[in-house]
Amino acid sequence: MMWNLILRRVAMSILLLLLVSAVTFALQAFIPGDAARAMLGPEATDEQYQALRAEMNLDQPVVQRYLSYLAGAVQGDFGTSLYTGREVLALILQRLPVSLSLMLGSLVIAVAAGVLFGVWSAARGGAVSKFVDALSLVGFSLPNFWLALVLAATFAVAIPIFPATGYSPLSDGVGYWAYFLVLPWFALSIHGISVIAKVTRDAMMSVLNMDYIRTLRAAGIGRGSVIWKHGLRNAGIGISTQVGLMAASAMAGTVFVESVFAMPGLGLMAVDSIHTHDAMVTQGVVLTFAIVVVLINLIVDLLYSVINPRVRVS
Amino acid sequence: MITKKNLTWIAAAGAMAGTLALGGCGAGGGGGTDNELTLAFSADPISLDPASSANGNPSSWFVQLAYQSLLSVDENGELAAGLADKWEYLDDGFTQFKITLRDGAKFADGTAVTADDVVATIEHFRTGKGPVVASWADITAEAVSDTEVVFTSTEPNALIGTLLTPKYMAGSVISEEGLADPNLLLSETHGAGPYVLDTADTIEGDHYSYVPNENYYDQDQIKWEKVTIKVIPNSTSQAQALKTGQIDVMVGDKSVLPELQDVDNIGESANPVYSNAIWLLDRNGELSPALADVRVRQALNFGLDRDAITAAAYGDYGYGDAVPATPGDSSYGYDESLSDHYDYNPDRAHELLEEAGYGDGFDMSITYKGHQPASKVMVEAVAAQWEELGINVELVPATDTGDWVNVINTKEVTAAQHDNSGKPMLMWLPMLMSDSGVMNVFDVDDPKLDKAYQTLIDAGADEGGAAAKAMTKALMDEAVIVPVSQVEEVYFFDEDALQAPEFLGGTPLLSYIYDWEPASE
Repeated sequence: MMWNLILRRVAMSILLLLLVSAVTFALQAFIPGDAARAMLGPEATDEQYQALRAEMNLDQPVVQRYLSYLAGAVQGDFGTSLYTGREVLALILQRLPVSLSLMLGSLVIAVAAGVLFGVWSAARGGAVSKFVDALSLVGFSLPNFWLALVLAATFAVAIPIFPATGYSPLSDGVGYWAYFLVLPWFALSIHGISVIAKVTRDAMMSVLNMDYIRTLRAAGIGRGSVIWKHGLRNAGIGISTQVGLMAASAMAGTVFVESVFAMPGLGLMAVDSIHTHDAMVTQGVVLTFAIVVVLINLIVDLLYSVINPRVRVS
Repeated sequence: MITKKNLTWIAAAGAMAGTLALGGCGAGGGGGTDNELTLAFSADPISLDPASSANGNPSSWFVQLAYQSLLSVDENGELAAGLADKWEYLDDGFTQFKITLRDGAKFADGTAVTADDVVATIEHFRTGKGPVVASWADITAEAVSDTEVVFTSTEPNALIGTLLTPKYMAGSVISEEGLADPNLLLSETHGAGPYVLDTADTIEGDHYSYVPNENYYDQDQIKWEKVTIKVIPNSTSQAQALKTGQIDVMVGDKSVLPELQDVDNIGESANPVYSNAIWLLDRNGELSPALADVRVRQALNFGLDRDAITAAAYGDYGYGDAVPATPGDSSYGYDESLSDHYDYNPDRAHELLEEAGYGDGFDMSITYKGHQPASKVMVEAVAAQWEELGINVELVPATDTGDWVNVINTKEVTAAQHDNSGKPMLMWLPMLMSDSGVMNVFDVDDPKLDKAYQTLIDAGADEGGAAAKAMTKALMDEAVIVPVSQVEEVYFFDEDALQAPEFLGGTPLLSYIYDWEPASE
């Protein structure tokens, strides 16, 4: 039954990725301007411009170009950058660790901190619950681009604890890697912490009021065990759903956060490639984002069936 | 008593402290020692290949460091020696220009720079994809000896030498190894400049590191043990990196001034580098008959309070100017005596419009580069002031330069905002005067302009300055362009790390990057 679930999800994911690639390709075709004009500038003659367009195959119909791209993509060839000539796949693999470090780290922090706040709020209730509610609202409303700038201004400039910009790869040491990521992680995770805290609190409060919880307490089961082992397990369904949704927004958030902290990830590469009309790179980055989100949601779906056996049966 | 629960918190706190301690050793990175220079730039280089790289500072830093050009520019903005130490025109018609390579010039790989390398490089430029390709369409190169190259132009061209200076890239000679496989040029450097790209310490999209070229002919020119260009897209982030010492230099504008103005060790150096103006395309009156009348175009010039508009768009980093050229050497055509030729005079503007029969106003449209925030402010202010003359202005934003060209080519707009970077007039006038020039999309025939342009083409270096000024006067008399602002490029730098960079001879050219010296020298 689990294999059926996986196979169905994989088949749907492939269709989804095809749709994403087609829409992205089409949208790029409608963006005014092209790479040839971006390279040559306004002072080139029309003859030079048309010659370069032909050299880059930009004069071919959109559908023809897309089918060419697709034919290459299914064989693992995602094209080359119009500017650097480097293979798009190589560029993506070079930058993927940066974005994954940022995104996955912020997701882990969002889940851990969000669950802690949510459980604390549900277990204590009263003023604590209202306080967490208010914090959630504020955190949810703060745009992560603005927050990133404020964090950098405060904890990198005014109180110089962390670096204002940059990224250190894992190969240079875990400590140094994490050090450069503290502020970006915080900027990207605030939104997720707020959402997870609220969902956890609501789910926990609902669960903790159930009869079987009272029965467990009456049977002498410790409060901690009741909350963490029994209550949270049931609340975990809502939490895992939110993680799947947050993965997409975290990927989108990397665009802003990488820009502010000058991190050489996929988000920044996406912005650059759109500005310069480097269509193959844009296509590759969008597809990569889509694959990551699809994978995370697949894992969430599987996790869902582990947490809730009824899903497996159905 | 320490419980299991306490231990969990203690371990978490310890891990956090450990992370901070481990990471804190070496905090900040870059902009570090006295002998290392770190600059910020807002984007990855378009290309490391000189033929495809963008021209003009500071995007040319990536190429300039590793590629010495054939000629350079001195403190007065005049041609000076580079890899070539002799140069001259061979004819009075300015169609043949000869250079002689200096003794001892070598590429970073140790091979000698020869005339054949120069010829091969020029051919690479002629067939390249960069913005300077347009300048080389009519010029070929031929090696006449091991060290001498003659450039031949099919049309008179008094600027061949200028094209061989760092700003225009074409003189950036590439080694035989680099040209044998041009793909190498996209990720490595193969030049004869004072530095060479350290590929082991370079991460695309993050930073580009350069180390001294041991084979450079003038080791005294090498001031730094290492030069790093960090890619930091956001200008506020650049300002923060400058304040924290992560970088030594950034290019800024008024938006970062609040961040930097009160910081003791941050200096600035500014100079006008481009003229932002409204170019009147429809002078035949096809879309807007009013624009065919020179009195109407002159009225548009009189109807602008340039100082107020410039202050709104550029703050302290620009000034209003009615001259359609940028201050520079004589070939730029800038004439300071004309800067108040169209001083703000709305009464005079109304008079001219009445005389021309457009006292009640007319309609026009302007396309502008929407990705330039300051240009957007400028154009909106211009439209508001012209509306006071009764002129109804439709604004058509373009998403980028490519889109801007496409909009102009539709011939559905009467005017275009353009930030024309400071350079010799003969380099930008073809855009306006040639049949296929983007600013001549309506194919306007203007005998006065044609005559002044031909005079400029035929003038040599000695008479070129007077001819350029005459061309500027003709453009102003015909009111072809409505200049608004002279815009300054501003460099903010750490005064503790390096000496103030200087602009050469008042031109838009900053000192070459490898002329910047440590503060300690």
